[in-house]
Amino acid sequence: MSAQTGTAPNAGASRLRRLLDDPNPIWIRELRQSARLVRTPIILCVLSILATLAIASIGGLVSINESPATTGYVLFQVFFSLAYFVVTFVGPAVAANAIASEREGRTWEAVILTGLRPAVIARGKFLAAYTSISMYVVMLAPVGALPFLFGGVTATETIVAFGFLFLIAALAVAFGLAVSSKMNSLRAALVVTLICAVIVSLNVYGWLGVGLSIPAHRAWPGVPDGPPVWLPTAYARAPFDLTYVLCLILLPIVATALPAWFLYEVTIANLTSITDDRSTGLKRWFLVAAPVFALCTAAPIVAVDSYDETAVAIAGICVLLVFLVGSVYLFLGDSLGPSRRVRLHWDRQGVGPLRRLLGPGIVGTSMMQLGGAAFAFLLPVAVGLIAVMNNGSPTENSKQILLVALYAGSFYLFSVGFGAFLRARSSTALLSRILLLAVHFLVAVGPWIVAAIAGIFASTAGRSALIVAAPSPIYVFVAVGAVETSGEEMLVAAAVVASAVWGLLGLMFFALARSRVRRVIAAHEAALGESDRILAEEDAAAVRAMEEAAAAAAAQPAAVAPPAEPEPQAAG
Amino acid sequence: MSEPVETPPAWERSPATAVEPPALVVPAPPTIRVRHLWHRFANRDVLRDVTFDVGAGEIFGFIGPNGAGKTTTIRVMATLLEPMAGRVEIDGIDVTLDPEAVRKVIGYMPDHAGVYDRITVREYLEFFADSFRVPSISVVDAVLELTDLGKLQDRLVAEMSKGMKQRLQLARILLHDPKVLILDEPASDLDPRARIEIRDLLLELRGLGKTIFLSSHILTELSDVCTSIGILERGRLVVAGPIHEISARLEAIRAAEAHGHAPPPRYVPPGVRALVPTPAPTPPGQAAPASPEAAGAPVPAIDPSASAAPPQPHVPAPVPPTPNVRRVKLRVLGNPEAAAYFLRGGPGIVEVSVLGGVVHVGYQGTETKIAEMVTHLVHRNIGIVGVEPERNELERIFLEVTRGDVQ
Repeated sequence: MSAQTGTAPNAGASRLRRLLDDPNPIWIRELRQSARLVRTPIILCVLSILATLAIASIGGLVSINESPATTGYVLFQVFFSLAYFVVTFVGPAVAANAIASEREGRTWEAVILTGLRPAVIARGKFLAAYTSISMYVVMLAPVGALPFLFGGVTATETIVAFGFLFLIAALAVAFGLAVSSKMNSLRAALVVTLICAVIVSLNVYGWLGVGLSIPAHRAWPGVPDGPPVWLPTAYARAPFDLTYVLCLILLPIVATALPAWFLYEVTIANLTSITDDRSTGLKRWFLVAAPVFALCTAAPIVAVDSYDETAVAIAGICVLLVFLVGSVYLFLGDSLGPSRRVRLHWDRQGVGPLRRLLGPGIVGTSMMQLGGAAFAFLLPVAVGLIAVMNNGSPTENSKQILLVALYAGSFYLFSVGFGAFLRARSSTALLSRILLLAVHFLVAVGPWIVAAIAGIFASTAGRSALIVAAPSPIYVFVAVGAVETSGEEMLVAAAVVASAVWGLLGLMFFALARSRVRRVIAAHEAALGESDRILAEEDAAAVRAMEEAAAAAAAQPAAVAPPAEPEPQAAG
Repeated sequence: MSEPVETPPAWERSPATAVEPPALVVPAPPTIRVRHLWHRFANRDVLRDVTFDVGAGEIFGFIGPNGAGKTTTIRVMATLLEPMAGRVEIDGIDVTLDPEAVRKVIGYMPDHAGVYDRITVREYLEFFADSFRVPSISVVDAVLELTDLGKLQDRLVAEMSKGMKQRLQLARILLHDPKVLILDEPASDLDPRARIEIRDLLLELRGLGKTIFLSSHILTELSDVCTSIGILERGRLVVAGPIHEISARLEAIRAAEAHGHAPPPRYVPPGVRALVPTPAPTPPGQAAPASPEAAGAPVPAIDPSASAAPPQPHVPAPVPPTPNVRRVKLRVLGNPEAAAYFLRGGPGIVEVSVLGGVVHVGYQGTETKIAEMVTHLVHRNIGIVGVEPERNELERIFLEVTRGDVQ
């Protein structure tokens, strides 16, 4: 029963009913606190008035020279662009306040000691911040209806636009929450969140807004090219076919669900103690995200012209490699092995070996990453090969795809193995990440710097001298170019050799990491066993002493008891 | 018909009736069990082999200078920090292995804890009641009544005084009816009235069967409520046990030293520093030092959970209605035993003893009683050369067993 709302959930009630009857306690408490914040309604009113004035002014200016329909469409773009920036700036800021402020205000420990699970806390904080940002959107909604006065947009477009606004708000809040969950200082959380939010939102606005409107216009001529808020228009104006389903239904779901799930799992992992299981959720996400991401990189190969298939396949493999290497950094936060507590819980719950593989442990994590990545790489490579095979001039293009796949795969193997090695050797995950980043940077850029210093770019020896840059992953593009050019087989061979070396180094580092982890865990277990033994001996000694004392106490009174005095005679 | 003769009371305690074999006393397991606890921050050991037990129903005072490791110990017990070595069990549950279960049986109140300002007292408690999954709303009312916050239930937390906020914190940790209360400096920054109120509340909670673990700098406050204490210095537990036992032990050591004897040899369990240095071997022909046992002084359980010592049955000692006994030391000219003789049995005089040539007097009443004692002795031709009020017992113990080192 919820003391805050005075309602009790029914056993057979629906999930929504249960949510309403037994709501998240953190959500309700934050709502109560927000309701007493005097500045919130003032901010909302000021924002609405400013937005109204801005829209009215712009509408007035545009309507002087343009038709009402054009004015309406311009106002639609302006309003939703403004709303987009309000949501992407304010949402993360509100969410960043959520957990960091509790830590700074010293209320956090009281909350976690209640026994609330990190997932419940994360959901409560998310709902609270999301409710808050939703109020901003709702307050702005009447202003968003102004374009209707002019025409040029349909009700469907406006509703879809608002729907996306709520969706973007959810992602923005989840992002702010993920940052907040890592930070102890409120100011640091706000600064980091806002810097990231500004960078990401501007890029998304530019690339996915203005940038994608051009291919969208090519695909669906009814969608105008140039305006950033093109997606709601596409829903109303594109014909309903397979492309519609793939690009306007499936892709947005994937593009929203995967980041949201990732941010949710990151938040939970950050809220979980380091000796608890903070790996399983993120690993589950990876095992789903890697194939989905691979599918997304493979799908364009089928969609483009046959002339571009090789380039798109290579680009897909490279993008996939970037995603997978990013995941290596993510999983460097894993511990060397499951703690005693985690193993105890596994034993109690009878957890199987697969679930244990998804648990903490850098060796298992590395194996899981390699397995997931192998499957993921297979998709774009296979689709690319099949596509170029069907084109009639398969050999060189196939070689190019295979070369890139080989280099990407072996470099990924190196990254995983070396990452595991660093994690096994260093005391903190941060140090491992910094070292791996430094090595990646040196490996990627170093050979080119050496080549530049040696004057190879300007030398008369030609491109064959570029062989010194073979250790750099960027070199693979030189090798891809060399496949098509006769007399540059050495460059291709160098790429193959470099791949083999990266792969071998990866295996070697992985073996070293595994051996080190085993030693560390064995030493830890031995120390724990010794500690248990000492404590057990102490307990046994204490029990023995207690029994002896009891026996002595039982024997003593009988030995020293004086003869009993006679009972006094009763009078009379 | 003759009346039956009433059995004299002395007979009821006669050995003849006491020869029944005593039942094997199974000691109750300690509610809090800290064993060989080590913790390190960076390269500094903040806890070194700390070992102690707290029995059920006790109020255990945890004392130590700043930086001694009190809060670290408490945070380990509260499952907020994992120990690097050793084991801590609360109600038989290992805090490292099953922190969720431990959280159900403890209520932890940190020092300078924050509160949510923009909600009322009742809303605050309702939130924590929901978070603790307390089954009934009436629990909030019961806790409000117990902590005497009922009248303030609709007041915003931001408008409350520090003392009331502390009381609210205490109410929060009572919502799930924990067996063990862990309070870190509960009376810091409070005015005298709020301190007294908190102290009374703690005594009331003890009456409800709670085991209370409490750290504080304010020794007088602890001496009023605690049944046992532990003193921590530089990460090591210096001494632990019931106050009166530690006090008696120290008294015996002092007496032995005053008579020119070396302190008695004794076992010092791991993690507990010796109160006195280990004595040198006795030269042949010299009398063996009188042990505190021989002197009739009880030996305190310096570390009840130590490896070599059997766990003692932890029966919570009832809090005696402590008459406010004050103490004074009188230095006299001539025979101190004679001075003690003249003082014994006087009005308001509770106890008199002579230690190291100084007459220690325990009395009840105001300071005029000291003047009366002095006058009384002077009239009997005993010269007074010094009058020195004794410190609070706990303060005395603390000063005696610690060195004043900080980490």
